[in-house]
Amino acid sequence: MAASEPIIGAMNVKARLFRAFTSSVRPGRDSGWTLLIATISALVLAPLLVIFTAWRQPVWDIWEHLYATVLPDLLVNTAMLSVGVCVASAVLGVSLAWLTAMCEFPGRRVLSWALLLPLAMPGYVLAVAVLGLLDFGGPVASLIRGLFGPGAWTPPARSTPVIIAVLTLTLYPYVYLLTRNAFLTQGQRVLEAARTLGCSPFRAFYKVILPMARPWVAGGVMLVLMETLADFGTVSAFNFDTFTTAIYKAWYGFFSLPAAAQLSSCLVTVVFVVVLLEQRLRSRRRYAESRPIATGTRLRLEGPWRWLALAYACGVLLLALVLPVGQLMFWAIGSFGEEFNGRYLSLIYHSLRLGLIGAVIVVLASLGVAYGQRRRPGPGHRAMVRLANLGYALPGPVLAVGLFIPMIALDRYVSTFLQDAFGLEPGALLTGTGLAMLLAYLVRFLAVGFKAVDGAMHRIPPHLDEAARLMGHGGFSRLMRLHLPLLRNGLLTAATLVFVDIMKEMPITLMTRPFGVDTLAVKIFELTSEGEWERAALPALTLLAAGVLPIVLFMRAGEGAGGSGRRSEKG
Amino acid sequence: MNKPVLELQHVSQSYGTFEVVRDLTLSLVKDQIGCLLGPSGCGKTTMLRIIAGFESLLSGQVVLNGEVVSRPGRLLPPEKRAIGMVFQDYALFPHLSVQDNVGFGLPHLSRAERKGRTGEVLELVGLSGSRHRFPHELSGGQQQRVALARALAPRPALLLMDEPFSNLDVTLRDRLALEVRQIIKSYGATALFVTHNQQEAFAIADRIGVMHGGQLLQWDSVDNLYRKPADPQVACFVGEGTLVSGRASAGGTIHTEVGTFFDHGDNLDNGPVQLLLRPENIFPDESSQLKAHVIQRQFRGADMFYLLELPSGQQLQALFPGTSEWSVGHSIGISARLAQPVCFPVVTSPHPASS
Amino acid sequence: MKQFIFVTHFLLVAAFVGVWQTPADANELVVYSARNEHLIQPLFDAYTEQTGTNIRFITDKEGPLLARLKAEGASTPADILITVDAGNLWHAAEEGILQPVFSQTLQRNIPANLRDEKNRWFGLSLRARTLVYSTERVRPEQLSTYEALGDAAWKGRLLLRTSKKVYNQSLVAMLLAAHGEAVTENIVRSWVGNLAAAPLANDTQVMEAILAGQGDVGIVNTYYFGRLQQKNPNLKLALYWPNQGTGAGGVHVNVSGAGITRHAKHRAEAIRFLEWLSSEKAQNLFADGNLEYPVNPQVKAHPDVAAWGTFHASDLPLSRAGELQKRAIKLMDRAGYR
Repeated sequence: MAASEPIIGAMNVKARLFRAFTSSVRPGRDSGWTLLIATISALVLAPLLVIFTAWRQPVWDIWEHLYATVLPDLLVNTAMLSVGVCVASAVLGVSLAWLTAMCEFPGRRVLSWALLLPLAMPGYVLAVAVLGLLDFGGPVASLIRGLFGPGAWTPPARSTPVIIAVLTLTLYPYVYLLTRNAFLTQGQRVLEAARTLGCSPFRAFYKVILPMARPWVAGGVMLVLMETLADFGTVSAFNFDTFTTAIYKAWYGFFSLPAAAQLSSCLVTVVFVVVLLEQRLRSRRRYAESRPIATGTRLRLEGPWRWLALAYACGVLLLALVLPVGQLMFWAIGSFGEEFNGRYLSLIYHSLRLGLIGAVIVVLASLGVAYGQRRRPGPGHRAMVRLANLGYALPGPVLAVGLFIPMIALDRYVSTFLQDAFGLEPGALLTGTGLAMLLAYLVRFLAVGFKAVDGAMHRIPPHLDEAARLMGHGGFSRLMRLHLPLLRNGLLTAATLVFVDIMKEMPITLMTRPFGVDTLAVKIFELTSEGEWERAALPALTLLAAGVLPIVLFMRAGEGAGGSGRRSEKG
Repeated sequence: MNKPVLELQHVSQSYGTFEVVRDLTLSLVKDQIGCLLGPSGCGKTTMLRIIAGFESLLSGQVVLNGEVVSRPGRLLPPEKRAIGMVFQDYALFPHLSVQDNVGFGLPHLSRAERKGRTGEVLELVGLSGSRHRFPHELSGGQQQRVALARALAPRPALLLMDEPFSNLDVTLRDRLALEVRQIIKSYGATALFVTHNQQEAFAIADRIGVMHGGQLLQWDSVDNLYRKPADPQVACFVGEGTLVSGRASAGGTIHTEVGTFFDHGDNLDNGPVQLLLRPENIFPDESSQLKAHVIQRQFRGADMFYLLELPSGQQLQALFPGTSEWSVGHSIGISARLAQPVCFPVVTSPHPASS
Repeated sequence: MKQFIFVTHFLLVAAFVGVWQTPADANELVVYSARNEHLIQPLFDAYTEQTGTNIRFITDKEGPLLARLKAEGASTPADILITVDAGNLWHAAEEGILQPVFSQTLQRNIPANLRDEKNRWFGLSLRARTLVYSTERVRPEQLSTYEALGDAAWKGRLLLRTSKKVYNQSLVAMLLAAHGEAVTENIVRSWVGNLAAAPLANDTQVMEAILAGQGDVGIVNTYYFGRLQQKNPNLKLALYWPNQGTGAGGVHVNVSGAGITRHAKHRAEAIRFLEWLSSEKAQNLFADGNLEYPVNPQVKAHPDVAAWGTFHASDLPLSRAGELQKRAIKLMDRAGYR
C-alpha cells in the first residue's frame, strides 16, 4: 500500500476527473468492484476487529505486571531491532539493487537473481544455523579459541547485532526486489540529466535516483518492518525478548488471549501510524516514471571497484545462504538415515500445493482489489485497501486466532440455520478445511501480493484503458486482453513472494490445517519445538530448495521478458 | 574571430561492426547555435552523447574550450565537462519542484544566491509563476522550458539538446523553436542540438551539419546548405528538389532534358552529371516545347505544389502560383530557370529525391 | 488462452477446497496434540492395528490448541487433547475444555499425583527436570539442591533455559509451593546472579554450552540429556538428582498427558484409548520414544533411562504447578529471569 499512493496522485488528473464523472453519471455501473474490494477488505478486517474488540475487557493486571517488569526492556529491544533491521535492510537492499541494476561488474547477471534467493530462507532456520556456527561451542568460536587460547574473545552469538544481522539477511530481498525494479524502470535518463548538471554518479544516486525510488524503498522497508515486528521464530531462537514475547507470554504463560490480543492491537496501531506518516511526508510529489525509458548504459565500474562490488555481493550471499546451508547440510548428512523416509514426498507435495494454490488466490485477490481500485478510485476504496494490508503486521498465531473466531461463529450460524431449516447437520464448513487455511493465507499475505500487483498496475497509463474502451472492450475483456499481459511480471513477482512466504509460514498453517495435511514447515516445527535441530536440517534444506526454484524461474522469466531486464515491471 | 568552444576531430565510434559515427569533424564557436540534422539512426544522438561524455569513442577526439575531454582511453566524466543538456523526454526530476529542478545544478551557491539565479532563469523562460509546481503538473511546453532553464542555470560552456521538440505538437513546436533560439541568444550560450526536422533546424540553428549513415556530409550555414549543397544527399535532404540527369561539357555547359544551363563557378569535368532542380526553379511556360503531365497537386496556401512527369518518365517538383488551376492528368508547358545551377558528377546509383 | 488459465485456476481452487474435507467417521478418534507427531504417530499406528480404530490428529503448540478448542466449543471434532506439560492440562481443565472420566484402569495404572484430582486429565509419561553438570569441572558432591544453585560457588557457572518455557515455569511453581513468594524470588534472583550467559533458548543449547565450557551446571529435562547421550555415549556430562534429603522436596517432575474434551463425539472410544495408553505395552511405546519414564509403576523404563538411577520425585500434585504458573511467571519477571 505504501508504494501505491504517490502513483495514484500521479495518474493523469484529467483522466481521473473523466472517470469520476463517468462513474457518477452511471451509478452502479462498476459497483461489482466495490463489492469485491469490500469483501476482501472485510475478510482481512475481521481478525483485526476481533483483536481490537478484546479491549472490551482490558486485562489490567497483566498490563500492570508487564509494565512494571519486562515491558520497558521489551520496548527498547523492539525499537532497537526494528530500527536496526529496517536501516540495515534498506542499506543492503538499496546498495545491492543499485549495483545490479545500474552498474556493470563481473558476475552482475548471476548475482542479480542470486541475491533474491535468501527470500527462501526462513528466519528461524537462519537463526539456528547461525547459532550453530557462532555459538560458544560452535566451529567459529572453537577455531578462535584453538588459535588464540581458551580465553580469547569470541563473537557473541546472542548479541543484538547478530540478531539484527540474521533478520536483515532474510528480509533485505524485499527491499532489493522492489528497489531494483524501480531503478530499472526509471534510472538511466535522470541519472544522465543529473550528471550533466555536475553530479558525480554517487552524488546523482543520492540526490536523484534514491529519492525517486523512495516509494519502493519505503514499500520494501514497510514489509521488513511488519515482518520484524511480527517475528517470533527468529528472536525466540536467540531468546531475545521483543514485544511479541510479551504477546506470547500473555497468551501461553498467563493463558490470557484477550491480553495477547490487546498487546497485538498496539503493534498494528504502530504499523498503521508509520504507514500514514510515511505517506503524509510524501505529499504531492510524483515518483512514477511511466514513460517508456530510453536505453542507457550501465555505469561501468573500474579497477578495484568492480572487485569490491563483486566481493560485497558475494559476501552477502555467503552469509545469508552459503554458510547457513553448509551448516544445515552438515547436520542433514548426520541425521539423514534417521530422518528421511517416504513421507517427505507427501510433505513436499503439501508444501508446494499449498504454496501454489495460496499464491493463486492471493494474486487473484490482489488483482481484483488493484483493478477495482483502478476502475473506481476513491477515498473509500483507498482506505479499505490500506486497512486490508495490515494483516501482515500481526504475529501469525494471533492472526490465526483472530480469524478462527469469526469463522467458527459463521460455521455455527450456518449449521444452526441448516439444522433449523432443513434438519441437516453439515458439520464445519470452514474450520478445519482447506478453505479456512487459504482464507488465513489471504488475510496474512494480501499486503505482499497487492504491493507487487498494484505497483505494476499503476505503470499502465490510464489512457490505455480509455483506448481499449473506445475499441469496445468491456471491463473483463480489458482485464484479460490488456492488463493481464502487461501485468505479467507484476503478477509473477506477487506469486513468487506469496508462494515462498506461504511455504515458510508456520503458525497459521499449524492452526488451520486440516487433518493429515503436514507441510515441510510443520515438520520443522515438530522437530524444533523439542530442540531436534540436526534432524530439522533436512526438512529445512528441502524447504529452501523448494523455495529457491520458483525464485529462479521467476527471475529468468522476468529477465527474459524484458530483454536486458529493463522493460520488466516487477515491482 | 571567436575561438571554438567545441571541436570534434575525426571522431569515430562503432557498436560491434556497425559504425555509428564515422570520422566526424566540426567546430562550433562561441555564441553559435549548431545543429546536427539527419534521419533517425544516422548517428546524431550518439554524437551528442559522445560530446556529453556518456559514450566513449573509438578514435579521434572531442575538445571543449581547448581541453581534450574525450579521446580513446580518456573520458572526462559528464559532470566535469560544464555541459548542459536538454533531453528528448526532458528527464525532469519528478520528486522536485520546478524551482528545485532548476536549482539542482547549483549546489555550490548559497541558498539565497541559488534562489536568485533560479528566479532569473525561470524569468527568462517565462515560468516565474510556476516555481513551486511539480513537473507532472505542467504542460509539455512548460516542461520543455523547465528543462531548458535547468540546463542553462549553471551557465554551461555548451548546451546540448537532443530532439528537444519532438514530444510537442506541431504548432507549439514552431513557436517554441523560435522562442528557444531567442532565449539561447539572449543568454549568450553556445549550443548544439540534434533533430530530424529541418524546419526546426532552420528556425534555430546558425550552422547545420547534415548527417547520414554516421557521416557528416556538410557543416555549413543554412544558406549555403540550401544553395550550395556539397553532395546530392544534402541537396535532397535539405529542402525539396529533384535530381535530373545531364551531361556537362567543356566551358561549364550542362545539357539536360529540361534545358541547357551554364555553370559560372565550378570547374566541371566532362561527363555525366546530376542537376538539382528546386521546385521554385520550374515555371509554367505555355510557349515551351517541354511538356509535362500533372501527377499530383497539393494546395499550399500562396503556392500550389505540383508533381510533374516528363515524357521520359523523369519526375519534377514545381511550385506555381496558388491561382494556377491545372488538374491531375493535364499537360502543361514548363521551363526551368537557374541563376546558379548546382550539379554533381554522377555517382553509381541514382538518388531518389526525398523531402 | 489467458481466459483458459484463469478459469482453470478457479476450478483448481474449487476442486481443492471440495476434496480436502473428508467426512467424519463413526469408528474413529480425533486428537489435538501438543506432543510431537513423531512421538505419537507410532502409538496411533499401533492402536489402529490392534483395534481398527482410525485416529486423525493435528499437532500445534498448546496455546493455539486451547484457543481452537475453546472457540470451537460444542462443534469441536476433537475427542482427546494431549499436551506435554501438566500446567497446560490444568489450564485446559480450568477452562472447562476437558471432562471428568471415571475409569478403574486409569486409577490403577496412574499414580494419584500424576493425574487430576477431578479426573479430567491423566499423566502418561514422566520427565524429571533435574541438574546436569560437566564431569570435567564439577564433582557431584558439590551439588545438592535446586536452591543451592544460587550459592556463591556457582557464580558465573550456571546455565538456564529461558523462563518463557513452561518447564521452568512449573519448576519455579514447585519452589513457590514449597517456600512461598519471598524466598522463591530470592532463589530465582540468586540463579540469575550466577548465570554464565543470558538464558538460552532450549535445553540442548544449555548442555552444549556446558560441553563447550561456557558454564558448568544447568537444569534440563532428562530426555534431552538422554538424546545427547545416545548420540555420544562418552558425553562429558552427567545428571544429578537434587533435593533428595528428607523434606528436601524431591526432584521436580512433570508429565506429558491427555484428557478427554468436554464435547467429545466418541467418548467411550476415547476412554478405551486412554486406558490403552496407560497399559504396559503402550506405556513403553509412549515413554521410550522420547526417553521418558512410564507413569505406570508396573512398567520398566527404557534401559538407557533406567541407567540414570532412581530418585525421589516431588510428590506435589501437578495441578499445583498449573495453579501457581501465573505467579511463577510474574515472580521470574520481577527477578529478572528472562
